[in-house]
Amino acid sequence: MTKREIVIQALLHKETLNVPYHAEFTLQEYENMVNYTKDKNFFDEYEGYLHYAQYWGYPTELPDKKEHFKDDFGVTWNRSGADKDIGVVDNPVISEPDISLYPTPYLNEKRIREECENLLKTKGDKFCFVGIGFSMFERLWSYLGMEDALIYMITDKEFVHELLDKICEFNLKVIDIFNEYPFDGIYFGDDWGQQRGMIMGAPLWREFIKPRMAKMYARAKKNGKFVLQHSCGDIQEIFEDLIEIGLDCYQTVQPEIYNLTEIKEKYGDRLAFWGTISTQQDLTNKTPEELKEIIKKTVAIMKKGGGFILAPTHAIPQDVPPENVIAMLNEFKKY
Amino acid sequence: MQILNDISENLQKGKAKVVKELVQTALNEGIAVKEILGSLLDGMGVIGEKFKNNEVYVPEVLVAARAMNMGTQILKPYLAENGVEAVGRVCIGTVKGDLHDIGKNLVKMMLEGKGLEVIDLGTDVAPEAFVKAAIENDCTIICCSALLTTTMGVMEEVVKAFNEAGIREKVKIMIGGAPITQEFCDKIGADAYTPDAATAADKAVEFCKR
Ligand code: B12
Repeated sequence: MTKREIVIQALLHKETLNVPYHAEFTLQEYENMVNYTKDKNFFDEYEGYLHYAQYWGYPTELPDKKEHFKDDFGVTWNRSGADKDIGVVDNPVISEPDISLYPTPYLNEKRIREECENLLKTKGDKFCFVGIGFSMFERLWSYLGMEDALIYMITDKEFVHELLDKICEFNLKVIDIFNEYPFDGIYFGDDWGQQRGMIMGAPLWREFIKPRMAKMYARAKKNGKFVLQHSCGDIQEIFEDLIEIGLDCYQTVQPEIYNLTEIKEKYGDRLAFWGTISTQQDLTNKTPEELKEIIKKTVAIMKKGGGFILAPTHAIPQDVPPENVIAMLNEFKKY
Repeated sequence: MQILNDISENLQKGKAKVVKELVQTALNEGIAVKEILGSLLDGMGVIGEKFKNNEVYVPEVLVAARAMNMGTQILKPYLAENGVEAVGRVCIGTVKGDLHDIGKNLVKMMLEGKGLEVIDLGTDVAPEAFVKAAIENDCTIICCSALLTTTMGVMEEVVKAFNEAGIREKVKIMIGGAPITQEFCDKIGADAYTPDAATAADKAVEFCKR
């Protein structure tokens, strides 16, 4: 079986001989690894099963403002501070709950198509998919600022519905483009969780986010693609909702948050899990030997009946010792 | 008193405008400033408790806090002359390298909801900046927030910086954020960790009473 076929089997909840895995690094950690292994291509022998890219609206550095990046949604991200990857919203574009302030985003169809083609060209025998980052709640707060986004969900409901409809409408256009290509799946990024429970809570998620995710999932599924959803943090409260609207695979699955045995038992035959190896607690704090033990135990719980992609819960950050990374990758290859 | 009840109730519902009007009315009626403030803090206390028990979420806390601020804005000019003093003074910020500020902001709101004065240092705050702010503002407590394993180590530097500045005995250091644990708090020698904002505020009040 190819890596692609193995992932598909896993997503269809069929147990495979090998457990598919995946790993990603932050830029800084990748550099650490290259220095440690003295090998620029150290990752070649560990290549996982997934191949994907995400659409973010192409933040581009402003010629007149260093380290400030404007995206196709009209949002400027300040990356001069601590975070060089995403940055912080420089100035909310929509400063009042007034839908006429909505800046019509620029759909850069040409570039989206180029990137789709590139991705497919380089996929090898992996499971290949494409995603929309900041796909709903995060797009909302990038326009409004996090606090106002949450406040308007209570004080200006109609405005939030209108704005989310616009976001959804735009995303559907992007999905239509994706659908023209032979991808295996479509991936949606949107952080809803916190360490305990959801940032906005399940009731407001159901009111505002769920109906739009349902539309986007349906559009992706129309072409028989698998749907994968990223959310950091604790979203167990809405697992049933996500299954109901057609989600195939949930990503991050922070083990310091979830009881893996419990979620596998309750949802594991209907929802696939991608993640489970903690970047927050274990990769940083444990010894290589302890890590191997953790991975072994995790696989034993999650592997049963398929529905599992073994991976760290986030891009591996720069505070993870290279010894741990190597131990983890070698262990991943065993299953 | 009915109006004080109404203030508390409306604050809990996040009805900022109504709270503002009711506070003004209460003032006009000659109700003691301290009691009006008490009704605001009471409402915020209820929300804090509900948040702790997962009965309400971040948005509800934000609208309640906004309503409280509207109320306290009106009371502010009268606080000093009526001998109403803050329970204590706290400096708060996210540590150097960390931009996650929702948790920090919630802690700030809960602290204010317990009648503490809070100086917000914002995000990405260096250890020396915590020290400087604590001295300048004569703080009883500093609160450090970190959401990343790559930044939580800065908290240890904060504790060291307070030691080096010779003011460690005077200032309580509270820490929190997703990756923080009690074990970590003990290890770096901070004074308190709490898993949520409402408990953080209770703990802070306790420190101020001592
Ligand atoms: C929203 C979010 C973001 C937003 C932040 C927006 C903002 N304005 O804050 C954005 C998208 C910008 C972001 C960016 C990044 N993030 Co982030 N993010 C989150 C997420 C999903 C939720 C955090 C949150 O807001 N929670 C809600 C609040 C209310 O909860 P809280 O902060 O925990 O606060 C509560 C308590 O902890 C406590 N508390 C908080 N502070 C204090 C202080 C004191 C003194 C006390 C007593 C108590 C206390 O009270 C609060 C209320 O009860 C978490 C997931 C998670 N598990 O937490 C990831 C998470 C924290 N992020 C993560 C990462 C990796 C990043 C990035 C590096 C991603 C990247 N660039 O590729 C950047 C880093 C940016 C930076 N330098 O800071 C990882 C960290 C992993 C690790 N190794 O530690 C997490 C855990 C996700 C994961 N899958 O692992 N993120």
